[in-house]
Amino acid sequence: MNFISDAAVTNLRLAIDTPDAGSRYIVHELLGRGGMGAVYRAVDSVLGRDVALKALSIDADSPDIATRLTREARVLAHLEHPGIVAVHDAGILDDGRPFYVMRLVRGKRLDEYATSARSGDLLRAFLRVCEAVSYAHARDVIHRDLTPSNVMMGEFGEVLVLDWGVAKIAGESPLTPATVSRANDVTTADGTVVGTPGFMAPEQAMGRAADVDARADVFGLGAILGFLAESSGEPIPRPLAAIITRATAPDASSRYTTADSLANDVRHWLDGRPIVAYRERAVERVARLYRRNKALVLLLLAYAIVRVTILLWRGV
Amino acid sequence: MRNSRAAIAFRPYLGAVRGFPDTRISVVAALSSDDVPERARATETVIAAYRTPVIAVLERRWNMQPADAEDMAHDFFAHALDREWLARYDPAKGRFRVFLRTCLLGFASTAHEAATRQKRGGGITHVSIDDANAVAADDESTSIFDREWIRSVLSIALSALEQECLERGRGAAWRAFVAYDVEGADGARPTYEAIAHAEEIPLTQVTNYLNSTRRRFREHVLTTLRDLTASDAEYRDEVRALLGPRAL
Repeated sequence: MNFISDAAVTNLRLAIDTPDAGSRYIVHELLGRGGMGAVYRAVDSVLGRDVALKALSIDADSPDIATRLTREARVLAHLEHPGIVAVHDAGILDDGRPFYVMRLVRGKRLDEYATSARSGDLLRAFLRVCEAVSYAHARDVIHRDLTPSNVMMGEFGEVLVLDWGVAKIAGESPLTPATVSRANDVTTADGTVVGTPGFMAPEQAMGRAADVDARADVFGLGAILGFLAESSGEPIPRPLAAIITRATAPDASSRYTTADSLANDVRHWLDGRPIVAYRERAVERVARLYRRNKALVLLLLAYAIVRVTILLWRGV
Repeated sequence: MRNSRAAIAFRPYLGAVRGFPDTRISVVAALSSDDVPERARATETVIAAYRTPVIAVLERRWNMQPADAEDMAHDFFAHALDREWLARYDPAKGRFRVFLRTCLLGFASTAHEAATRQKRGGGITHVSIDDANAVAADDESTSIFDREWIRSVLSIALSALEQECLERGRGAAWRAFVAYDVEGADGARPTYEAIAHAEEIPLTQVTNYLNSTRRRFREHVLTTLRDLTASDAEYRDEVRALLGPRAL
């Protein structure tokens, strides 16, 4: 082989990292690259459908990362929820790298989606994220890295929570086979910091792994809510700001105790109902009741005006 | 400028590597071996792998003509052997690639100054390893050297792959790989169907050929990197460097 061009060099470097997943999965283009590995579009030649294949990067030098990827596949396989991407298969490549195959979701990340979406749509998407996280909590899984870029908005309105590679499996769980438990010990050991700055609860950022529970995810959800509220560029309504403040309280005991209770407050605010996080003034209560029952108030007002008019007319 | 004391043959890398047993230590580690033939083979291998990056830096950083750059590269390696620079490489102090690049920049800089002085009537200057290390690498030289090092490693792996394919009667697989992943990268990438038609093989065989050949290519690249590094940590660093930012 003589001189190879710059384009060929670039292509060959990609070819080196592209996983060879045997005859079943034909790997095509790179979709994205993260801390643990790279995700490719692939074709499942047996079932004849497009899938996403995530494999450890060839330059990953830590056994922990390989363990995390395998563990992520196991965690995902046990979380069957419309808001969590489904895993179809997992294994080890010929070169020793772990991989797993999941549903291919086409769409935008929540941070990209937020630049053009309406605030109501964003809040409804947020509620779907809360539902997925709440389900995971019910299965004793704490995500620990909830960020807008870890949420995918599908082309058909699906909302999927991604990147469960640093998830913590709390307590004794039926979904923790031996290998998962060992990996869990590694990544939740005191002093090990996993997560994304700005979206990470203080107890997690300080490496107090034993203190990290569902409320750490509540913090992440609150930070996502803050990101979405700010993305519109408009002033954040006081009740919504209060919800964000409560969800992201530095002290875990001051936060919502569950993702559900956070979601309920957001849902109530959207519906014009009172919320837990904010004590409204009398004027605000009247304004809220008016907004929520506008048609009824206007009807009663019209009725009152008619009655008064009749009384006045009769009086004259 | 040619140094007659060290006769250096720029033989193909493969020939040099083949001289090593399967359980060989890394080529870089063998540079300081007490076994003279082993040390000679290691030197030859290192020169074959780094010759292109060295020439590229001399051509582009010092604006040398290709023939002059080749002569200077020859002198650099001869000087490095003569002064036992390669044998004195200490893995604890950094990567071999960075060490060699630093040595080159020091050598070229001093040689350039000497050549300028000679034109004015000055004498010949000998370069010590300390002089060489004293020259800081500028961004341009580093970028050229590293880019060409990547190209060199990939070229070596491609040559090994080609030879292997031809020896094992996998000419069609090699041609499919070259057509799609090497020549096709420049814009005229053939479809799988076109390759299948050209090679008169089923479409599924093209996929199999490409997958298996890419796998072997990956193994040759990693083997080359393993040879050209002195420790596991350096090996991993170099794998990362090779697979890092893709833009050239």
